[in-house]
Amino acid sequence: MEQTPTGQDADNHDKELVSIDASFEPLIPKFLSNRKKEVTVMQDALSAQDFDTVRKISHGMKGAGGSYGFDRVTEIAAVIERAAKAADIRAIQQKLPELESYLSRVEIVYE
Amino acid sequence: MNDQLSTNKPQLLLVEDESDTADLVKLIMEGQGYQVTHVADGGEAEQMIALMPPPSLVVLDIQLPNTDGIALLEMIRAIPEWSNVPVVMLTAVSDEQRIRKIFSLNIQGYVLKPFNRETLINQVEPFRTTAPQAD
Repeated sequence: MEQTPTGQDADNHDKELVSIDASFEPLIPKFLSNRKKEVTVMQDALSAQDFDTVRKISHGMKGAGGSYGFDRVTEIAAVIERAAKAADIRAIQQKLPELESYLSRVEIVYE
Repeated sequence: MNDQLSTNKPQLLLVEDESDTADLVKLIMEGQGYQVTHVADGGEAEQMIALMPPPSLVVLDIQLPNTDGIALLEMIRAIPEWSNVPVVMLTAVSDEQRIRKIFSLNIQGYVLKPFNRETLINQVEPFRTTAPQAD
């Protein structure tokens, strides 16, 4: 997808540039793929009001995200985890699309 | 198992159920020269601990399926051959009471998730040996 000089793609979606330790590169495709799958699983769980599943997945994501260098994943997952503990459907409904969008826009710079 | 025993690399037992976190710890620790054995389930870890020789180091998550990390730590400390094996807890648990509880069980360090590479390496570096020290 072409990008404008400001880091936007051709559809004018802002890219999220993330600096990642170059030694982690072999693990990144699986990491991102798993996070995207987990968004879907959490969406399905939320539809069934299965807050325990949302809590468990977001808890694991909270720990993994920042460890890889994706601090925003940890931030959003922490909010989802707290919301799941409180059975706050609305908060989770707000955050899951945000997480999904972030994962689709992230662009990695290996350092 | 025999291949692991025949190396001079320090052996590390990693018990962590979140697969991407485990992959990352394994990558980092293998980069530090460790031979890593990974188990994702507390029940499987119990079986592994009962069968394998004591490693140089254990990196142990607290929240695990079946048997949790604290129960595993108690098991490790009750086995004479494992009693001196350094244990570093890898955990998202941040409440003070649980941290105090696990320190009362004789751990040598802990790393809060999310962690950075340097923090993990600094926590485990003091325990780099090829074999656990006997009494």
